[in-house]
Amino acid sequence: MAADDVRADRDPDALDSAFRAHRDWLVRRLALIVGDAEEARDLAQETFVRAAEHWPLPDPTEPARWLSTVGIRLAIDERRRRRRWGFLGLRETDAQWAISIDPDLWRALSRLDRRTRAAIVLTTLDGYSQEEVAAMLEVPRGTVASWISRGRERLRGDLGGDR
Amino acid sequence: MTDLDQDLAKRLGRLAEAVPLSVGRLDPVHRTAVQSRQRVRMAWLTPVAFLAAIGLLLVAGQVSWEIGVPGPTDGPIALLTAESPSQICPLARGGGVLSRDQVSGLGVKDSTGAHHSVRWPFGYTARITDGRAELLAGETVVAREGQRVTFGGAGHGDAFFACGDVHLDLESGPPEPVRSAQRQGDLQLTLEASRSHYIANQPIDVFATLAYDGPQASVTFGHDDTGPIGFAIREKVYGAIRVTPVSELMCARTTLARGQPLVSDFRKSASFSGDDPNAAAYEAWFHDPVFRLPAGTWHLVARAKGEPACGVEDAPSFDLQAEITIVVDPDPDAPPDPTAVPSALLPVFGGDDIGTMTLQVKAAHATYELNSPVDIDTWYAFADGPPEAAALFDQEVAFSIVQLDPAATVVRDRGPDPDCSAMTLRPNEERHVAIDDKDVVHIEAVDWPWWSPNALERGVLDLPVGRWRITADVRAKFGPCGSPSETWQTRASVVVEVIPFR
Repeated sequence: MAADDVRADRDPDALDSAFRAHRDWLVRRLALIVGDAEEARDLAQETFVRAAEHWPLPDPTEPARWLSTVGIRLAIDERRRRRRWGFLGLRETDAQWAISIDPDLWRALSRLDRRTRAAIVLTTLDGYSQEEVAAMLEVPRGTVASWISRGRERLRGDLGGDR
Repeated sequence: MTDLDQDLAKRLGRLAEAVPLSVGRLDPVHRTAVQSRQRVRMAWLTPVAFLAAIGLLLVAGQVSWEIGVPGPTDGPIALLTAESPSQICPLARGGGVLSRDQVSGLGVKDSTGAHHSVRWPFGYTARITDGRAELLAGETVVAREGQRVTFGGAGHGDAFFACGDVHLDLESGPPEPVRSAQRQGDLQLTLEASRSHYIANQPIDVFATLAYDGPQASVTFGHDDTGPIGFAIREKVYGAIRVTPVSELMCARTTLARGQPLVSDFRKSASFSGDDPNAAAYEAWFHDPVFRLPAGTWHLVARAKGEPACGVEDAPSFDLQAEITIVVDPDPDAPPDPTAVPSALLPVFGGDDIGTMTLQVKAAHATYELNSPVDIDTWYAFADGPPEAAALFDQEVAFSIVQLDPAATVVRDRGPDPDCSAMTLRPNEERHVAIDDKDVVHIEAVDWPWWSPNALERGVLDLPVGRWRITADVRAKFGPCGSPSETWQTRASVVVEVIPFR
């Protein structure tokens, strides 16, 4: 069954509302994590296709968490898939929007791997606890704590000159 | 919440607000992939995909699959390169038949048979492959021994200094096929094109062959649904289309009989942004049954990957890759192609490959309008060596910026930083370095006042109208600072033009 058919079958109004309410926010989060706005838009699209497949969501009161979880897992999986054809690399990122706002932070973030960036964004910007992030990424809480600790240490070192 | 948390939350929030949010829609290729996946998805897919992923990881642990720069067995030749003594590359063309030379590594023979040493432009290297010398620009074979080459340049003293680009004279002989192969055990993957040079929009005949020559009558192996052979292009076509297999992680199997190789023409599988204003033209290229490419240098790759999967027991695990380089020249007689991306918008590259170390400088476009930031991406990588600290002399990358046209009149030469800094790099790990004021050691320009700290910071160049050459130098060695180990030096340049705002 095609994606459009799925949407049509399952309360399209509610899905459209969720799309309008969460799409921009999701793209912004994913762009911070994957480092590329175009890829973030694609991932957000894919996330909403998954949402259409699973609609209504298991916990309709917290669509943001479901979308974050799926979007970030897709972002990390996409990285793995591209590594299979690793020579294609991820060199072609258009990051002018970030460089013009906060180039130091952008460079510092780019030195972290995606999982660490995801953990830091989810905890620092969105206020999720380490336990919640661990559940979203399906890893032990200690692993998330380790990512965040190492990531913050690198950020502190890289951003130290600005402080 | 700590100061770092508060500061970080604020800055992350600002960054997030700056993300461009154009109206999103699935691009056509991506949409097809999603719909196809949904049509075939079944309950058993997840565990099978999981097992396939485990298989991939196991294979990855056993087989190294990296794009390699030529190793020591390729037989590098020391090629004498030098800056042309003239600031402007003369239009008059030099050239001759490429031949080995004791002084410069490679030289040319003129029509009288006289031999001339040549000082080649920076960025060119040479090696011997299958007993025949080759001249390379970056990773691209420009010409082979015995072929005629042309280039700009002039004599200076007793030496001839080539400048600009070196071209293969296509009229000098019959086309030579390009071929690359890799073998693992009883399996061999070959990628082949009938010639190394094509004309833009001319059909390009590239095919891959997977052959089994082991003791059994046949061999069966599992692979994903991209097929036993997948194809990719390193460069984006029209600067926008990424050609690479897209797998749904579905299972498939192939049986290969001994002596009956599987042959596959180059298949396009691509993705690009549906939001791109040229998306319709890209889609037309994608659906064109004939494989054509616009002018440029293209690295084509075939990959065959097999594993015990999909219920195939005792199947061989292999991961083979073959890569060839072809050059597509512009067609001077062709009418303007309305779908073609203007060459000014295509990226330009400069590269250097000394075997141990690779350096690349890239500008996103060949031409920029005044006040548009000139975005330079520079990266280097060690092809081999120990996974330990590499001591980097001076700047990690030292940049020079030279105005070529109009010719520069003012020079600022700061010289390299005498400090030695150390960095840990793994083999084949690309290290990207943004151009920064502190790393620019040499500037030549017409007009001095344009230069200010604001003209070059944050990895972006703000250049006045003119033609500019940006050169990156990396000097590095393995081991701690001050150690006597051998120093590796690479240099790569890119030329961009800044035009008045239209």
